[in-house]
Amino acid sequence: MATILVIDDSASIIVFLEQTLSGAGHTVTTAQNGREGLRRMRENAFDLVITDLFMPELDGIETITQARNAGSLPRFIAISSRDSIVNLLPAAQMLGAMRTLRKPFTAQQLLETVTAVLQLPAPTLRPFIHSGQVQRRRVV
Amino acid sequence: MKPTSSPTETYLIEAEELLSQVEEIALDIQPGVDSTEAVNRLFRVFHTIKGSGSMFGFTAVADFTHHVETVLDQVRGGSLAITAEMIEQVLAARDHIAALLAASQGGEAVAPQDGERIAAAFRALVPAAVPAVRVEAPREAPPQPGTALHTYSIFFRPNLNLMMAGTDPMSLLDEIGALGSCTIVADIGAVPALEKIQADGCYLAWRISLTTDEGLSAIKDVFLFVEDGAELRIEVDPVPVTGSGALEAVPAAVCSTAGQGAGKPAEAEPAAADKLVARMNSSKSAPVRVAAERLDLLVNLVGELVMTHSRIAQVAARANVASLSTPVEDLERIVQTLRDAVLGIRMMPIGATFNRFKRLVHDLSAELGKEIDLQIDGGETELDKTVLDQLGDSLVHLVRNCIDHAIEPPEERVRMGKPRRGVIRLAASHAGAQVVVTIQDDGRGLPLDMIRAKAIEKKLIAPDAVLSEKEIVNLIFLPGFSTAKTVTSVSGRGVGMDVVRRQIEALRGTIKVTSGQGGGTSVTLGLPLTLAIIEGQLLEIGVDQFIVPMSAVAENVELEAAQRFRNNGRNVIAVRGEQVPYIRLRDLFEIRGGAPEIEKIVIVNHEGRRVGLVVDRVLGSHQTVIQSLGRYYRQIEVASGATIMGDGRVALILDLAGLVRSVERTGPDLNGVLEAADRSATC
Repeated sequence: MATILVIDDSASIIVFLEQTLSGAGHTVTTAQNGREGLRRMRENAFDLVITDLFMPELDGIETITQARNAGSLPRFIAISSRDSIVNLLPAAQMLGAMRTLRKPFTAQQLLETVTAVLQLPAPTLRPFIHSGQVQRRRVV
Repeated sequence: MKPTSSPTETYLIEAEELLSQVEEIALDIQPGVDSTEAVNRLFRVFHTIKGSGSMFGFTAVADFTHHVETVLDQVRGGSLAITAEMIEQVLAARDHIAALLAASQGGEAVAPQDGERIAAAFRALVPAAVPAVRVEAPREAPPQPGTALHTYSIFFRPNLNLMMAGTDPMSLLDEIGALGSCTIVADIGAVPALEKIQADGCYLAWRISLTTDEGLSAIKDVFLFVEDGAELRIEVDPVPVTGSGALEAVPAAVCSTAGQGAGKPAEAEPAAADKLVARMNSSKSAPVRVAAERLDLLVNLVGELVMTHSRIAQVAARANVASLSTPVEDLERIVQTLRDAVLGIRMMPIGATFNRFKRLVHDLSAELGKEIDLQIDGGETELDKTVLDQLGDSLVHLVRNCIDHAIEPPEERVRMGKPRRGVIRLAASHAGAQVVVTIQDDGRGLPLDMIRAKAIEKKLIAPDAVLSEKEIVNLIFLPGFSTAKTVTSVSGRGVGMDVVRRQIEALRGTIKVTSGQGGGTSVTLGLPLTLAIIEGQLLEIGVDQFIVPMSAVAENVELEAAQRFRNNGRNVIAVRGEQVPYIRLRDLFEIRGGAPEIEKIVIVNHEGRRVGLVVDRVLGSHQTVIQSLGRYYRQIEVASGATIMGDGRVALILDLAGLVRSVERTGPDLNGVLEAADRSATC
């Protein structure tokens, strides 16, 4: 089973993720914001990091970016609200979130996504973070 | 032990906390002053209430909160200005969410039109040009298990000369991105040393994880023209993706957002990583949330430990074994440190309690047409959680009094040359083993004449009674005394200052009111730091032991038998020229046996006057773990609790207020003495 770091500023979401994932046999560590999450990532290597995107202190986008730049290479799953006005999920995907979960999601959906992501190869390389160039289109 | 709480329970606690934050933030916003950060915080709080609410079945809360979020987002984005009306609506929304949550816990049902009214008010705030941002849109259908979604692992190492052929590799990745949700990680393993590098060569390779409902051929199409001399592997993940809307087409417009959001160039200089490490290390450790019952258990256990320690210490002293004394002393040090640490956990800053009054002052002053500012000082002062919890009601009553009775309407204030806006000041500070909380206003002060007239009318005092100003002020603490001509919704009904006094005394606290005519009123509460363990003075009468809180003790003097009879049987002793009434506990408690020739008088401060308690012996200070008296002993007013001594005996903890009350009631002679002494002290 995998070691998973959960980063969310909502205590209830943390409890939900922790209970669901521990129940499935995973070892779960929690952090309440991106800054704390990065510290946990420095202390331990995780197979998977599940992070909320919209958080105080350090948001999920910055967390993923900084973790990648600091050479931390876990798999990432990004969480955000379903009908969020600001949709950060695509941005998170561009930065290396392998999957995204939109609230509300069920325990089953969570576990299925986690299982799927854990079957993907872990990023093993010094990553190249996409920046603005991605939008350049080939002019035909 | 209580099992770990469920997400739903946690959500309810969390939501309550978040809602109190809403109040605090919203009331701090002043229209016209830069409130960017406050609006961001508000948005974040509502966002969490909505997001987490939707997760745990609080759909009504989530749906409603969406309206608030929409408006706040517009404010955040700068397309709306924050107005006083908007703040009112935010507060109304906060209350509505609180009501919805209460209703979900079996509380009173919420009328749906309430929510609709507030939601409509929010929609009205959004300019018509902006179509109420999905507010009316039907909710998206719950995520269906995907049918044709597959995840592909793609490895692509292009021909070294790809770029010379006029192809931009980024556009290839872009096309892949357009197929579904993808993660792209660049492989820089093949980049040679600088001197060997070919400037226009493409040394990079990419690992792509793509989740899409497109077939394999669509992916192959992307690489159709670049396969020459390239390394391309495409593997299909056997498990179809059944998760929620994990899949998102990545529109180009969003890519640009990502670019700005990411901002960081890949070639982050090493210093950045170091900085990151430093920042990570400097961040504060996260707080842990623990159920209050667990803390109570811990406090009780520490209490038992303190008592057990004192028994061991006593046994050790009696055994007189030298080798035992060091470990017993060590144990004492550890127990004391442990006790302080455990009681420290229960200490909470009073600021949160104070902040709740911002809303009360805001709402009530509006209702009464008054203009009042609330000042808060010493919010960081810490008090035991139990004390804080029980203090709330009294504070509400006192603050309501300030708003209702004390602060004048703006016109009247202006006429009197006072600033138009009244000020209520809540302050807390440490004073020895006590925390002093003051509630002060700059209103009209206590109307002494009216209080006196009222007391005479209610036959609480004789019409010709000579009373000092302090005594008149203290009349308001008498049961059934209330000068309010009409019962208003603000000052409550029937609950007078006597109830406040009882509440404060139940906390082993004291209350004092001072007033200057036209110069405001000030209520001072003296509260114990904790209710669990007190520093007490141990007293002995015959074979019985008693404890008085050390914080009340002023001094100890001796009382000789001869002196006792000199005062014509009146229980008064002169201490440095001051007449101090005393209570002979031996008589009051009907303890048999003769008193020693020289008794001790412990002089305590009680409600601003000095009262002596006559005992046989003063044994010294004692760390007292307070145990409440059983159900059947509740009505005993002279003792507020008991403690178990080192030798297993029980000592009662004396309740000074109750003691004085009981003497005043049962012994008319003592009563006269107390009053006479009081008068001689105040005149």
